[in-house]
Amino acid sequence: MTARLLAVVLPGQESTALDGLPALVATARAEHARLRLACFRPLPPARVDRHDRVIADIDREMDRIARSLVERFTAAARAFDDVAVECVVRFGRPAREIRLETEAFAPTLVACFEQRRGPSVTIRLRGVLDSWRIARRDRRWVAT
Amino acid sequence: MLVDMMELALCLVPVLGLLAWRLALDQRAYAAGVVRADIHAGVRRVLGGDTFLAIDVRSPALWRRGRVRLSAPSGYESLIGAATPTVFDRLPAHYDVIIHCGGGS
Repeated sequence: MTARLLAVVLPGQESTALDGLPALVATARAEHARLRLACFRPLPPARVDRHDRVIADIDREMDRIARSLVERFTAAARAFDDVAVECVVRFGRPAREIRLETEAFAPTLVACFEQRRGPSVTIRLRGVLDSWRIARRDRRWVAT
Repeated sequence: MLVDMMELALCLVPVLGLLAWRLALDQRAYAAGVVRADIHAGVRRVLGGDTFLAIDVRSPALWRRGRVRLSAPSGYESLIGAATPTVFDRLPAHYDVIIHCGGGS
């Protein structure tokens, strides 16, 4: 059975994930694993103009954000053609969506990014059998 | 008599408490050292000697899980990848693997 590595990208951690991608890919390569970058975002509000007329509804906004994130991560992953890297975007409450994504992908390893201090990136890896606790602290989502 | 015993006990409690705390810290440091030695030996064997990869281990406590921290400078992420299977093979229960890369690390 192929190993599967799920990288959880919480809101605001996209650039951290891009910087940590080489380390994740190296880990996935060594484990002969498929790497899935799962970006979790809250439901976006509809875009309105100054007269409160809807320009883009929630579905269009979700589509726009998802396409932009997938393009960004796919472009970064092109440098690593020997590892299967895929990117998915899920909208909603991160704690619930991560549980759904974990059930869907059935990863053997789950990676979460820690809050960034300085130029370096810290990634925490844990077997999927151990539960992550996703909580909101100081207006940002953290995994502990 | 009872009052004297109580005073003695109250005087001894902080001292014994500190000794017990120090003992627990020493045991945790010893356990972390054993895990680190095991992982370090495996990683050295896989990578063929000492490399830029740094390994730091913190044993688990009541309020947090243990941590095996792998650090590599920017551009040396492949060392982390090469070492990861060995680290996971030798990782005890209730430990996380922390990868620290980029910058000077």
